Amino acid sequence: MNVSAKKTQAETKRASEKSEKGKPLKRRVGKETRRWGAGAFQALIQNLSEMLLVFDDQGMVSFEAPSCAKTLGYPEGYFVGRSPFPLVHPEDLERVLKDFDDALHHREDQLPTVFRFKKADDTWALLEAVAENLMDHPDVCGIVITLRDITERRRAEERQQEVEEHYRMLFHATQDVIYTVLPDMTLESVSPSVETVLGYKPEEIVGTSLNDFLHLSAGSFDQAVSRFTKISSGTGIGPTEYRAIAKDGCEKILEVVSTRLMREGQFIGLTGIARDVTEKRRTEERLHINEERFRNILQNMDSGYFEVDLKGNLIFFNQALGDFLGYSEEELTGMNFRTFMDPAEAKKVFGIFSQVYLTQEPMKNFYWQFTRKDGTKTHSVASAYLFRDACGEVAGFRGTARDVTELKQMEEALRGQEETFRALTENSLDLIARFDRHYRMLYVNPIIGRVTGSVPQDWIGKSIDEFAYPAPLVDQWKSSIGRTFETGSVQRAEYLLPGNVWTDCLFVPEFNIDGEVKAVMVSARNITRHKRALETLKESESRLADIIDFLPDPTFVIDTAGTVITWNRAMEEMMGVKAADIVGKGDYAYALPFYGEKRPILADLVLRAEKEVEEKYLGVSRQGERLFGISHIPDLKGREAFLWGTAAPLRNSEGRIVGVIESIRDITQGKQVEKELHLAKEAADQANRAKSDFLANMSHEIRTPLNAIMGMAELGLDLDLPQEAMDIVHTVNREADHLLHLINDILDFAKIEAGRLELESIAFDLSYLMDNMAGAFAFQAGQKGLEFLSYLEPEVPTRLVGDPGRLRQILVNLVGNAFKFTREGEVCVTVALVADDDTQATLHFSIRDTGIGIPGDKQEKIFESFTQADGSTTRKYGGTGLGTTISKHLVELMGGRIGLQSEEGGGATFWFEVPLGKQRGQAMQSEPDRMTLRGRSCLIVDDHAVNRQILRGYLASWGCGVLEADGGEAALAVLAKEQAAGRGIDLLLTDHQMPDMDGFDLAEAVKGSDHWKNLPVILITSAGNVGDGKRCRDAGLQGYLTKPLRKNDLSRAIAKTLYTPAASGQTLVTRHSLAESTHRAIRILLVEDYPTSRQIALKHLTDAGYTVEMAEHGKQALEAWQSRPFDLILMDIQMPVMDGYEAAKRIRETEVLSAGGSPSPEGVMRRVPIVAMTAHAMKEFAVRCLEAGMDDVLTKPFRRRTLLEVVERWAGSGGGDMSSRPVMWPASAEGASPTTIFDWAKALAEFDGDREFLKGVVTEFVEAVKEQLAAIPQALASGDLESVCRNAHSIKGGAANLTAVELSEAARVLESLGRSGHPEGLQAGIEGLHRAFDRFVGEWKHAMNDE
Amino acid sequence: MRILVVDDETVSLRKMEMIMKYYGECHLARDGESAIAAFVRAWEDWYPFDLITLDMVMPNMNGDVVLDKIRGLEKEKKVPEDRRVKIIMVTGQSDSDTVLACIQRGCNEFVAKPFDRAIVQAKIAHLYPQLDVS
Repeated sequence: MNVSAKKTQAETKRASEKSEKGKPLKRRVGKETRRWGAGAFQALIQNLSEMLLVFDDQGMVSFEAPSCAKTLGYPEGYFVGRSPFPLVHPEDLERVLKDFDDALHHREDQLPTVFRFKKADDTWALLEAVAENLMDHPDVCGIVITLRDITERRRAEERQQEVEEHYRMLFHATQDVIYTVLPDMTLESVSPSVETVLGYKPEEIVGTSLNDFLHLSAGSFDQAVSRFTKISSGTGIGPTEYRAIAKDGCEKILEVVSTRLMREGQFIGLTGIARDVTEKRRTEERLHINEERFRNILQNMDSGYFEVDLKGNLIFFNQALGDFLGYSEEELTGMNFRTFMDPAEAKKVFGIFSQVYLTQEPMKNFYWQFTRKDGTKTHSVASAYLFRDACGEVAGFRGTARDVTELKQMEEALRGQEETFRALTENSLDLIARFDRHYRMLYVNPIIGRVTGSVPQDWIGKSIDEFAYPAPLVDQWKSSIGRTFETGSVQRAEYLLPGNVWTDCLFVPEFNIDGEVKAVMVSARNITRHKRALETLKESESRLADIIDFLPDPTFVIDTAGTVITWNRAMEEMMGVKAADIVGKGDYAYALPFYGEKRPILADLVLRAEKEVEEKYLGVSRQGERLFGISHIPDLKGREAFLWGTAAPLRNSEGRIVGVIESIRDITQGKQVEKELHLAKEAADQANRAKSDFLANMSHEIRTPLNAIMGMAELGLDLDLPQEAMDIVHTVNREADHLLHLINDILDFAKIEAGRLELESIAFDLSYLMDNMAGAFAFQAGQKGLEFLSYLEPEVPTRLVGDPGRLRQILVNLVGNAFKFTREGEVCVTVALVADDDTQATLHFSIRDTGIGIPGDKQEKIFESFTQADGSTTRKYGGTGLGTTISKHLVELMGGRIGLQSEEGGGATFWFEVPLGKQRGQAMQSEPDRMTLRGRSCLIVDDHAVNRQILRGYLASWGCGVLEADGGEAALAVLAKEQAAGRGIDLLLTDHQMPDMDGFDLAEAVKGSDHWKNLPVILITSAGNVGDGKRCRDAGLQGYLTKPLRKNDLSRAIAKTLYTPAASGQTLVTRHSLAESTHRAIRILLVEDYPTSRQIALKHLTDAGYTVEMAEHGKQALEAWQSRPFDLILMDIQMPVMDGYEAAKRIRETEVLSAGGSPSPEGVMRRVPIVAMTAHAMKEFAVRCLEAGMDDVLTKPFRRRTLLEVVERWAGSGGGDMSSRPVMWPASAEGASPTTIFDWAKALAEFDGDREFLKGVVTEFVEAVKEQLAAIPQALASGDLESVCRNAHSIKGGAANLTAVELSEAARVLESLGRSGHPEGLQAGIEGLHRAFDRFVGEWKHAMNDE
Repeated sequence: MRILVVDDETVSLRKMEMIMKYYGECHLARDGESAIAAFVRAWEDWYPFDLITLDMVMPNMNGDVVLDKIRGLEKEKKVPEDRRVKIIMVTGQSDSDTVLACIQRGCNEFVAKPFDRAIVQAKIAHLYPQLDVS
């Protein structure tokens, strides 16, 4: 920087200052000084910041302002009297002196001089001096020089200049475009660089609007404007990119940084720098694309890519590496390489990396074994390179790793396989060799040594022609090898090698990659032994064939494929087919001669079981592997034949089935014999059936007269005959009885033998059955003077289902036997319960007697046909001996068992156990007993404990208190005791036959006592003796009953005894009297054509007090019945004019029709019971009778007792006894038992068989009753008895119409209770109705299920 | 024949219906009032019932009352005796007093509950001798 330049500037500056401020300071000071006076001037000087020096004309300082010393660092007053010029910088001194001189001599204002002046501290200060010549001034007289230190200013100026220069340089030199823009967006200035950037010269564009020259693209302009606004408003400054269009039309990307220009708070424009970043951006884009590309490549390549830093930490890697190592990206990031290497491998790999680092050469394809996350090892091939950071410093290693685990494994496997093949070949027992196209041996395995005695090396490389083998063999081999080469297919041949060795040779082509045969592999197996065995086999086979051929039975052999192998001569003869025509044929050809069709036969069944085939035989049986079958051939060479075949598999030495041999025998003759036998048997069976039929018919024919004989005998017994005649009648009576038993037994036996004995399954009452049976023996017991006891244990259910007739028969047989063989003592029947469940009860019946007993050795035989313990007993005791046999059969038919215990002379106990069904609703069994003896007490006197027990049971059931005595004396003692205790007794029941004091004696004693003379006494006797009645009346007894005593009889007798007013009490109550009174009112129509039978029945009935009319046949009966009502019709079946069936049918029909007669109180004509009387003992007849509308069947011949029982049952002296009627036969369609809950079948009949209609009705009914049952208690609660009755009435009617007798009855009870005006019983009635309804619904559901 | 069966109790009603439908068009009524209403309507339609079976015991109005009313209506309308509807009383009470009373009040027949087809058929045969029962 030269001084002149500075001077110029300073001058310029001064000029401008002058123009602004007027006069310079020193002039003003002078004027002021003059005006203010010396004091003020002095003060001014003192405080002047500018240095003021006054020089004399010698150039010495005459005055100095204090500021001079202060500014320049010299002591005050230092310059006074001195010349300061030596302190001026030597370079400036000359100029300073000249200027001083000028100032001295020219009195005009001098331009300021600038010079360097040494300061006290030896540094240079730049001073500006202005001199004023005041030589003429009176006060001053010198030159005043004002100095100003401009060091700092000058420095700043210099800096400013430097900066400006710098900017100028920049402005001109920069590649960036520097510009200023006015607020109106006019370009004010722009650096020349704009030309390089946009192609415009600055002068072309300065003064134009920014958008005129920039041609900013649309978006860019808006951006620029918004930005401009932002900048101008003072918000947001920063680099922004714009896209501008250059002069040549290219788009340029400019990065612009702008800032506001402010002057005095006013916005005056923008200045900014725009840089051309087009290239940079393009490069960046390219880089980005490249990077993307590489990333893609990296991520998608199969090999793992890694970058590790020098410490081995993974800094970058691709997906494949993660997959390969089994780690996720997150896990892998930053992980050290050691993590997936075992230490040894790590050492190896770091060695490699060190090498790469040192040599700076990449390492390619080295093996690297990684350890995966799961611990498995990988085999991989890896490469490693160095990589450098941006500064070119080595930053780590990068490289790839490729998984070759599979490859490695395959390699190993292949190597292993090779080893295996080699081992196999080397150790093979087959000779294996390889030949080339020139028949040279390329390889042979060591077995050659065994064949030839020389090692493979002796052979390999030699041509086959060189082998010392016979020419034919060599030729054979050559031809095989040659053919293999030619055809490329496997050849096979058997060759005989020297030394008599047979070989099975396989020639296998070996192809090269072009598919040409490059070698032939030969494998030769020694089959010498096999060959030999085959020959032996052939020999033995032909021997076997000879043997088979020789067999007399037709025999053939097939192989597993069904081809006939052997067909022997016997076969040829039987079938007429020559072996030559059939051997070798398959497809079931062998079946043709048998069946005329090709189908599997017995031999095939050996190979495969086929049911269809088996069924074609008359029977196939097996015995181990062998099959036997009989076949019927309708046409075997013109005749019918039965063939018996046996077939078995043929096995080879290994046990494998290789064929089947079948041998056949003609059994036609044998079969015919069998057939005849069968026919004979059928004929015999037929004859047997005929016999049974004959017996059945015979029995009927015999029965009719027998009925007459028995009846007459019974009547005769009642006559007053002379003793001799009476004996005769007795005998006739007894023998007739015997004969009847015999006939019955024989008939049963015949039925059993013919298998025609069928059991019923019907509901019955066991207690009734027992009573009835006991009644039948009572007379016999009395006659023989035996005690007869019959006892049902209380827990035994009595409402059972089974065959009561047969059960009774068994009992009668066994009890009859017991009586037969017992002369004194007792016969006791007990029934006990063995097992019991919901549906079935097993009962144990035992019949114990005190008779002669049965010796042990005879016991087994007792149940066999026609056997009694001793032949002589038959004569002595009578009987066929069939009774026990029949009993045994019956018991077994019932599914039970029978047996006996006995000792000879010690009595016998026969027992049997049978299962019997239980009737549903067993709980109902104990029918409500109307009689109550509650609060009363009775004394039972009997020497027999069992009898007392029975009586006690009966009485207790009526609530009666019981006292007991085992004899007359004891009884009197009891009476005395009671009398003493002041207690009363209401009744005395005493047995008649007792030791010491019998019943009569006791009764007389009682009647004779004062206290007890009015005690009612009922005598029970085992046998009615003539005159007993009179004796009773004489003794004043009230009742006289015979054993066995039925509960009903006892109940009625007691009732009559206790409740009959004493005034009318002269009558004696007996069973007869109980009945007789009612009998007279009962009208019976007896229909019987056989006069004797009619006569007998008439007598029996009239004797019992019944009113009887008679008819001789059905027609008469019908007429009689139509003219007047009867309570019972006894109807014979076989009658002239009209039989019993027809008559019954007509009566039933008429009943229905005549129901339309005039209204009667009953509304319907009463249905008359009809009991059939038939000599047919077969069940079928009974069923027919019932079907014809009859109610019961009485089998002829019958005893008076039986007849009267049946009559009693059906003509019923009292309606109350209805419930005790046993249902001996299936309830007929007409009559429903009073306890019928619901009879679906009958209801269905009522509804015309319309099931759906009936179902609908019942469903409706059930719903209605449910509502009514709910309404009844409410009505009762509100006292509306009428409503209760009406509902009950409605249920009664509905239920009756549905044959729901029980429900109807329950409703009726409730209704009548309601109407009776005694509502006390209503609650019970309602409960009863509920129960009945529940049962009805249950039964209904049951019926629906059965449907 | 046009028949009206009157019964409050389902089973009897349906059973009677079943029997009666063989004889003709069968209508049902479950109480006395609707029975009378049905009778009146049929008469007004010029298509009167030929036969009515009438249950004796019903809620609200008993059969004998219904019988009285019907006979009363007929007398009112001066229906000649031979063209009056035939009425069969159906009842569970079959004591002679009841039966006698009904007959005196004008019923033609009397069926006791439980009834069956044969009984009813016999009664109808008695009422209509010319009908072929088979």
